Amino acid sequence: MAILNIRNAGKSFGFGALKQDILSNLNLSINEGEFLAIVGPSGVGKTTLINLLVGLLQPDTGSVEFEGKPITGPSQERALVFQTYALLPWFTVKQNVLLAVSQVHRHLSRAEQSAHADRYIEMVNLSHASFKRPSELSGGMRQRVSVARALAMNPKVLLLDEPLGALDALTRATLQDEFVNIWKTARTTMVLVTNDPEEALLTADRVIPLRPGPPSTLGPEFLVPFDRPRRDPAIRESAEFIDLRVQITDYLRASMPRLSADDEAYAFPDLSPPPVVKPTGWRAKVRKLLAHFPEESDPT
Amino acid sequence: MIATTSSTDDTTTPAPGAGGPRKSFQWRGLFNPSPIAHLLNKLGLGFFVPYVRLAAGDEPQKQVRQILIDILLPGLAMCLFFAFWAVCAKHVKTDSTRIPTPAETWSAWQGMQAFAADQAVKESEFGDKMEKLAAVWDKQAQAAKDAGDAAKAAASAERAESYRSKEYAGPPTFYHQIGTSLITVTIGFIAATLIAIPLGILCGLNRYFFIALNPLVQIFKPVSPLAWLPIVFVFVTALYDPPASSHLFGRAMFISAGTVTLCSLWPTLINTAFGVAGIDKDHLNVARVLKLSWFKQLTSIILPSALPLIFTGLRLSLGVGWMVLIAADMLAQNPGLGKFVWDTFQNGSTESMAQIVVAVFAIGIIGFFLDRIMFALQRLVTFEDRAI
Repeated sequence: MAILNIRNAGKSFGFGALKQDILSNLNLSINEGEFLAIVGPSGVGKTTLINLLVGLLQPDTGSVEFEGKPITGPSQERALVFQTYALLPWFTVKQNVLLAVSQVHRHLSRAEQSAHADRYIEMVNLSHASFKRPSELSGGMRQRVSVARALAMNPKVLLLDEPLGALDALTRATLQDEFVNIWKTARTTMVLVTNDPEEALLTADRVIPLRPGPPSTLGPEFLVPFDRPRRDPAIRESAEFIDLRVQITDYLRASMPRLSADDEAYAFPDLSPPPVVKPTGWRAKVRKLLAHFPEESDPT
Repeated sequence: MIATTSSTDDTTTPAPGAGGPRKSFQWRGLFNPSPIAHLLNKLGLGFFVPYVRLAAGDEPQKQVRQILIDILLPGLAMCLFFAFWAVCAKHVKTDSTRIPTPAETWSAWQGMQAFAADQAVKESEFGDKMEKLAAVWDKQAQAAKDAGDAAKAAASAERAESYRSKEYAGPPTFYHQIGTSLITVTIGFIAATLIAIPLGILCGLNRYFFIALNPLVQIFKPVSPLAWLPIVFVFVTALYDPPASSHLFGRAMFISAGTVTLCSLWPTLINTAFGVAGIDKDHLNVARVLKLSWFKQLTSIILPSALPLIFTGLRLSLGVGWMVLIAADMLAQNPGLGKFVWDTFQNGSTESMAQIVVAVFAIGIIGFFLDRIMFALQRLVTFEDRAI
């Protein structure tokens, strides 16, 4: 059963001559409880697409529907995990999660809200850091807080906007597995937007490429038939898996602008850096003297 | 080429800063100075950091060097300044007066302190005398009451009360004047804050409000306190009728304070507006997705994120306010430091010039401390680097 429906939707930015269609002719139906991944390279409108699903943006043409009704604005039933985490730096981890909890679960008492927040902080394995501020956390930890905040809203749909884009490969792998575990426990519909076909194949039931434009549009769906966990080399390095990855990559590459043959043979101009002039005489003496006095950080 | 140059330099003169951050992990000295140093820096007392590090035994040579630099260089500048002052005192003179020497200024300062002490003694003597007189009338009232003459008893008690309520009417001392100035600037600054922060928040939140208000802000911002004063005078005189008995909260004080308000609200207003307008778009999207109420959005997102800039504005505002206050005091005849400077100048002797120089130093030092206080507050509300 479809929980989210996009029908012939399009979005453009700018006016008049500068108007540019970013997305057009989007058609997608997301089933309840599925893990869907949308893959596309940078700058093709992935964030715009997810903002349409959240309700932060409205489509110019067509419609986006949630449970059969057109989306007119954000709703607490569709939680978003931001690409930039968007944690409030003046709040601790717990306070960041509590902000969402107190907003969504108003009927609960304070103690119950606090317990609820703790449960989701526990789910992303951050109980030990619950009283730290975002600046004291690593990138991966921050993103987990952001996931906990979204999950604590008990949304029907969890939308993840390139959540692992800024993380290193090892942290990405850990969090990918965590997303799958969370999806299994929380049983929400999850939509993961990513630029990495492999990430999509490791996590999702269904992968849909966002074909670069402009205007970009959604391509054919690729069903992922593998059992989870998929990190096992038996799956990851199987011919089917690689074949699927190649298909998706080729599909995306086919419509990306490429360097022409001439461009590839670009020759560097024959330049060399200017010689370094070592200071002599009194200048050298002053420099040497100054080296004794390191610049202290001046608070004023 | 570049690499070899720097490496040879490193072997001859090791960079003293190289070992800095490593220290915090494995500290083997007396105590770990880093938290104290961090706190001092945060409070704007970075000057004392080398002393703390020295006490902890953290790279003593480096600290001693830093302390020497911190003392010697300002000391040198100070000496040059005093020399210049002494030369001026020798050569700059008019028919009636001249620039006082540093020594004369110092003795003027001691004279002012002695005067203040003398006044304090006189004031307490006056209080004792009034109390004695009041006691006499109290006795009479008691006697009349015992005799059954209620009217006389009441009259006597009233006399006693009138003696007790008499205030010493001696001339204000320098300390009183400083007190008056501080109270005045506080009133003006608080009023400016109460006006500027809400207006700034509105300007930052609503583009149309900002466009509407911007021309007024830009026009009134550069207006001199001297031009505002007559207008404030009319307002205060029309709207405020002080009780005759109050010395302190007279019209003059509110005229000064009003002028301070009008001149010092702009930096806070503008900084608040920019602070609020510059909120991270993602944070506002969080508020939209969570459907935060307007009030919750204000308290949990807008204010915390604008607070550092608001405090920058407040710090600038207090600086402007203190500067403006002196001029306003002069013209409004508010018995603060400004009036003191002006009255003393009218006096015209070299002695009074020395008192003015003392006042100049006092104004500067108080302004410096006000700025330090605001700086420390500003540091305390500034959260660590934003996420990402």
